Amino acid sequence: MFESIKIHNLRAITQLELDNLGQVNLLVGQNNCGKTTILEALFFLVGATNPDLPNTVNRLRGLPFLSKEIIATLWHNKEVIEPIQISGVTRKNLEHRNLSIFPLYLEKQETQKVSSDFVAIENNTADHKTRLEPDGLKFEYMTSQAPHETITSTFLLKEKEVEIKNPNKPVSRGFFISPSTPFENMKDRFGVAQRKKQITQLISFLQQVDANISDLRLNEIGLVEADIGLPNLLFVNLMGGGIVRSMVIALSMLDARNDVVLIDEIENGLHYSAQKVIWRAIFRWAEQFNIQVFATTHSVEAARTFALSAEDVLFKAEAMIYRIERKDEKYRVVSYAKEELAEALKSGWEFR
Amino acid sequence: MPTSDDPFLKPIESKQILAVEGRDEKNFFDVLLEDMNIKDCETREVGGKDQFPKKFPLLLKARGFFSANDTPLVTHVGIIRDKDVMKKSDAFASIVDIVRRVGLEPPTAHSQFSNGTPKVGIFIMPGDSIEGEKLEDLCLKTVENHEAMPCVNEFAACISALENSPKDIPKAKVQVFKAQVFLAAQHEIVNSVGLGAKKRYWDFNSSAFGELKSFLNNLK
Repeated sequence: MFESIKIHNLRAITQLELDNLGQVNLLVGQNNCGKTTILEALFFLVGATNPDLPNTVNRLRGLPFLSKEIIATLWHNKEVIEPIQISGVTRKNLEHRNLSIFPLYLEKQETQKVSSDFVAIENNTADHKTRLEPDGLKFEYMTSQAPHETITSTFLLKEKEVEIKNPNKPVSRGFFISPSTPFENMKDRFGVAQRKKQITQLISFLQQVDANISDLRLNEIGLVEADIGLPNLLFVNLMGGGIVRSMVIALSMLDARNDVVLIDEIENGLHYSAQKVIWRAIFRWAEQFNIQVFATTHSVEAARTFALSAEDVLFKAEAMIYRIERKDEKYRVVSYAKEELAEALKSGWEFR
Repeated sequence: MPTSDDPFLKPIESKQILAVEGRDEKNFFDVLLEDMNIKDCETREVGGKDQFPKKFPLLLKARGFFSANDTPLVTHVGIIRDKDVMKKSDAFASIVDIVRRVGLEPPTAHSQFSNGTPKVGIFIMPGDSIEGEKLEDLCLKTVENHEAMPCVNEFAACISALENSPKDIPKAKVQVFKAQVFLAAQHEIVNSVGLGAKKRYWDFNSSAFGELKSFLNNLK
């Protein structure tokens, strides 16, 4: 669980720091202020040793494949000059975790006679500063608990090279729930819940969104079907975005333990009554399973139900809301504790 | 300045802010500012004088107070509260303390503005020139020569003197009672000084408003 996070040079963000993070955190702010990038930064940091991360992150942005041009979009203004740096301090032990992302280039070696040979080189010299489109990425991850043990992984477009040193370093898991990929891993996640005997709990949760759901099953082709009292089971995918969204959030929260769950545009597809159900469940599960949650929203309803639900379920830990403000290259973060948010809402003072 | 499409949430859109106690004060000052032709100023109610410590810091967090590069978009902040039962100096000091705690520069004296960014001014009702504790004192002062006032005073005295008075009027609330009676004597009855201001039942041209108007002129 993070106490603070710093982001440098990632996508839209030049430099941004979030302090005094709560256990459940809601990010608000105008379009293109960097909310989703903050979720991505956290996702990178908690999954720093996962070489598939660049693929996953871009897919969650709706970018179906990686290309040199797409890799460059990880850098601010696509200016691949300085490394991307993401660091966080954990609450427990105040451990510092640092991830640096460097560009890698496939360069034809002039000195070699064999023209098909390529080597990966790092962009660490001045004459590479004008390069815009790297061929790959190198991740360097270290923690203050083991400052001399750098975990390195590389990702190259030519062939996926995975080289991880000191792979035993434990890194917590991140669950990223994106509005553009609602069905991603549904089969796997449902399978996990089935193995953990959590389907009854899942049904009970979903019944608060749709009272007709009495059973859920994974069919032979990997789709989840629901019994809603009709003669035949119904694909959950056909039951509307709200049910799918609720299920994906629930499956992630039920699978996570001491992990981080990231939910982009939490209100997406949800009626306000369902938002209340989801927030209450998030607060309960966050407390029960020691999960740190980060969500983004533009919705007043989502923020209102966030504040009310934390109170309703007597959530003891901190629930924080952060407004991200951006003007050109400058960023400002304004934080509200849940009690302050409730006051701002009561007064009608714009917090988003 | 930012705008919001949500009818229930209002970003700060003016360069001048006037923080007042409650809804009635907001109604009153909205009318007075309009009467003084002060246009780029918005009033924000904090929900009671006891709420200033909690709500004033939140006002600074509202969207539109600062820009993303941390510079204030608001140039002036006026704060008005009743003296009530406190000494005026204590009421002033309580607001100074709140202003200082949020990192703004408070004024050195009542009814003045600081030179900070933003400039902050504090006014304790009903001001130096009027006796009393509240906005009601000031409002009643503006109509002291109104022909209904002798009746209002007599009625208040009569009710207070009853052996089994239907209403217990503590000394601190006598002016509130009189203001209510005055408003009840008007053509169309309203039940608060702010709504009375909207009906122009108080005399905005009265010299009793001089000190307050002088303070508010800083928000022009």
